[in-house]
Amino acid sequence: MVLFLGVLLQAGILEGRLVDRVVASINDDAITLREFRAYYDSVRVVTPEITEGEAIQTLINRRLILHEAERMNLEGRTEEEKIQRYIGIRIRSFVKIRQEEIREFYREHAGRFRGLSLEDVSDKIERLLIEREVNRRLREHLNQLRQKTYIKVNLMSP
Amino acid sequence: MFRRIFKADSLLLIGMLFLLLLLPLPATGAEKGTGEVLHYSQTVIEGLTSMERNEFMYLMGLSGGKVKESDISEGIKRVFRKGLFDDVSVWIEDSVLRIKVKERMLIGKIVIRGNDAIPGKKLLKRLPFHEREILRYDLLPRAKEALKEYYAFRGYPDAEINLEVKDGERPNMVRIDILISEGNPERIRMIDIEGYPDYFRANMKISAGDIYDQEAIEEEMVRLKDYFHKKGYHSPVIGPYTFEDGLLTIAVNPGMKLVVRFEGNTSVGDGDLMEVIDFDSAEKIDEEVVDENASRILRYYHRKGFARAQVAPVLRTADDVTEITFFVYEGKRYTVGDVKIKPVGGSLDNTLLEDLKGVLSLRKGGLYNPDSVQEDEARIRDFLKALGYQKAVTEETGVEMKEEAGDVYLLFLPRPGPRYTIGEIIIQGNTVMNTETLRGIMGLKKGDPFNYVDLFEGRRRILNSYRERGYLSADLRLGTKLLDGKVRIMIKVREGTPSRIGKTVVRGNIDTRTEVILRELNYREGALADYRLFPELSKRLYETGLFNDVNIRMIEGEGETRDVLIEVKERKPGIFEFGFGYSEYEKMRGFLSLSYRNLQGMNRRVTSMLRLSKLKQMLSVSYHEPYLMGKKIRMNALLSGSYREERSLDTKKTRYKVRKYLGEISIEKKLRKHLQGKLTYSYSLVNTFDVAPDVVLSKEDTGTLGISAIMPALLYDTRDDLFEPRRGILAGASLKIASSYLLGETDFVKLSIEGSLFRELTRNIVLALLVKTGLAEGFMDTTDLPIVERFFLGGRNAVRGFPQDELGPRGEDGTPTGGNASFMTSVELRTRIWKNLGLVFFFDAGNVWRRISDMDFNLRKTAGIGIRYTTPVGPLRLDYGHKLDRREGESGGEIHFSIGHAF
Repeated sequence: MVLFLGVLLQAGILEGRLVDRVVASINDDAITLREFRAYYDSVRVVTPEITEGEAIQTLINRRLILHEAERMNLEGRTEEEKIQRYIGIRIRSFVKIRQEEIREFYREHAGRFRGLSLEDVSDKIERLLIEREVNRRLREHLNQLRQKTYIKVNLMSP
Repeated sequence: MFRRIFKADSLLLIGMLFLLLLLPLPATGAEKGTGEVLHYSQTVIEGLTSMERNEFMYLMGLSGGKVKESDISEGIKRVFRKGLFDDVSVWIEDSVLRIKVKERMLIGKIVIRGNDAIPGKKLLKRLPFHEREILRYDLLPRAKEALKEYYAFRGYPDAEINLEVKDGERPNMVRIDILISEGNPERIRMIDIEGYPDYFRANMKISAGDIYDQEAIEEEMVRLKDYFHKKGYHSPVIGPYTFEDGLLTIAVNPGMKLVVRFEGNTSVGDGDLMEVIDFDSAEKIDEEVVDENASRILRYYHRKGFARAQVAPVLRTADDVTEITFFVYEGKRYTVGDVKIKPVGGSLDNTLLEDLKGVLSLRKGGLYNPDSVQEDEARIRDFLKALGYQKAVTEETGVEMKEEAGDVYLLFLPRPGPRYTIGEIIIQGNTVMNTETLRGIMGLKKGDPFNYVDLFEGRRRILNSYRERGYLSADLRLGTKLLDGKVRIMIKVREGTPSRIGKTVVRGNIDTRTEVILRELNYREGALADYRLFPELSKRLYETGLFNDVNIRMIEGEGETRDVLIEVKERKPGIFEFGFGYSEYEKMRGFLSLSYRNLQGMNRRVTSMLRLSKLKQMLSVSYHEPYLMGKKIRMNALLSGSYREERSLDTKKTRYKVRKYLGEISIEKKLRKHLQGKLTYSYSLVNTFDVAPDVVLSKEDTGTLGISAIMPALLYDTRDDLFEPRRGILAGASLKIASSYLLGETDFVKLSIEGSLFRELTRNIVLALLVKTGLAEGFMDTTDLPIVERFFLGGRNAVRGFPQDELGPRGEDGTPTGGNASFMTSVELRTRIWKNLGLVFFFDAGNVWRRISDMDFNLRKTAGIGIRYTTPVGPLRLDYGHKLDRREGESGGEIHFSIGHAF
């Protein structure tokens, strides 16, 4: 927010009032300052510690995934639905956790599961391992998408 | 206990951290239509060179002096989709809207220098960017790295790549100069072949002293692998290779030789069985691969009716040879004696039983394939389910084999179960279309057999109807309920709001101005967002001839207005063409053509052409304007100079020679869907000389004559294909009025009427009919038309039993004079006999009369046959026309060769 104020203050002195500008672009898809500001304000409600730099990167990640989802003609009523559908098809459906991995996790974290049998926590461990693997693969996938995409970020004033 | 479980759950939360990569949106960004309304009296755009101000303002949505802040944001996003900008910012100060743009640079040209060892084309392929793409500075280091790696791969490890971005030919274009210093190459000092040196010594294309070029080495390895394959080795392994201190070491292991034999096959030859088996795709030969191939052989025998065939493979491996022998017992060949279908646990009417037989692959009299029995059982089940027998199953099929006769009798036993019909169709939530309309669109009604395939097809149809009306986010929820043996279908419609077309963003047009694309639009801003508009628009854009690729789509969004994105890839605007051919009249002939089809980026075309043959020479320059003064009226202008000699094909005697200079201008407009109007003015200066004395009918037949004429014309065309019409009509009429009042030297009126009709009789036979007539009359001092304007018939397109222009009245020495009136008709039966090859049977009749008053029913008739070979530019044609009323001194018929149908 300090940055925005800085931008606006500077703009006010030098050029009149800034109405809007491009703060990032993903190929030919622009993220405007106004759009970013609305996003940043809303995510800070749930993640107060997030920085502007992190927020713009997550917004870029979302656009990357959305572009891919649109390329695959995935339907969804909201952006969120499309993103989740894409992750489901492109990432989650390829993740398989073997029983051996669940047993190993149980063994390694035996202290935390005192009193609970492997059978009791097996489902939860599986879900955890799936999420962890989805997370890892998603990060890799986003890196690949970023490699082949022209991304520019300009959070500073023009 | 609960605490411990909570601990386990907290681990899950840690795992969900991936969300940080994509932080779900509590609100989806800035809302449309919000923010302060800005009033402005002036707009200043700084830094814009790559597109016109008007287009920029249109895309920004700026007009009328006021705009909402949120619309500015939308405008920035929209204009960004052009792909031309790195930054756009909008400021307001004292009612001045100031827009600053930072443009991206286009790569105009890539120049490579210093590359002696590797051709520039190969190096260009290695670059991550190409000419006419946006310059991405982040790709420059990658390009340098890619070239350096490729040079090292080709044996130049010390190559230095220097890359510079310089100003291009336009303000928003750059030139990339790549300067290469190749350095000294690494050379092969010695080659060591591990395992199989003999072949290398005799056949290798690389040798000691050569550059260590890995591309050449890998090509050599592929060649070597092929060599071993041809020698019968199944899976030779060539490589890997190493290179150290100039020593190239390549490992070669030819592997095992494969020998395949067949024993016991008498009805099917070894060659056919070799086609059936496939060992090439297997990495190694083992029992599993051999068994799979035995199954392939067995299935092949089954398809041929050998129902009791057996195949037993034996695999032997000795030294470096793998030997596989397939022992075949063929048995008898069976045909299907009869097929019966007997319902079990219910009944089916006889018509249905006959229909069921129709879907089976096993039919009476056909070969019996035991593998088809199960497939046919599945077909019966699917068919019954489509008719509402949702629980249909089949019992085991009875197969009775009559050994002596070699017949098989089949008894299929379907158990249909209850038949479900549609009870009610309840549709809720629809407001745009009423329930009856939706039921009609769905194609289902009460009492119809129920099946899910038709139900989902109905859903698709309804959704399409909604989308055609602009309801792009419409959705349907389907529900079914069984009540008293009838299925109640419940449909809940969520219509959403209708979308309308917003602005149109055009991108990819570097040379072509955006207005050239926008003027072809078949919709207006604010129209319902109907996807069906796009194929037609795409066709229109391809027809401009400017683009290789056209992609049109709605830009994704959730609002009521959807922008349209048209993305094009431009063709090269300059075209050089040449060609040559042979005709029985002109002999060798050729042409050279140079054209540019996008003058000023407006799709204006200029073409210069030179045509040459012994009898005709012509040089012309033409200009084409597709939109005259911004209206959809085509204009063509032509200037040409030509020389022509008309000769008799039989006697080789010159009839006359013409030198002609022509200036012509015409405008064309589409009046209706298939109707086109055209108005032409032409002035020609015609010098006719060396005219055979008996051809001279008027004083205007020799010497120089100025003909000034206007020609209104109408053309009606409903043909389905220009080159190979199968249905439709082509009809045209034109009137040429030449007069001294138009500053000419001759006066006549000339009417030409032509109509052709095409009908597809069967898939391979087309009937084509033609009627054509020409009527002319001189006025004031002109009686007979000048020879260059008179009608002639005969030749490859007109009454084919006669040579070129030889039909009609003749002079005292027998030279055709042409005339003021002509009529011809033609009937063709066009058949396709095999692939692109066709036969045509034709009948032509026609005649030429000196005056209109001389016209009678005395038509000369010819019949003939022709061969056609279809090509993308029309069929190659060879015709023989035979005179049915041959007169003394005339040939029996004529052979003609050309491209394209006669009409």
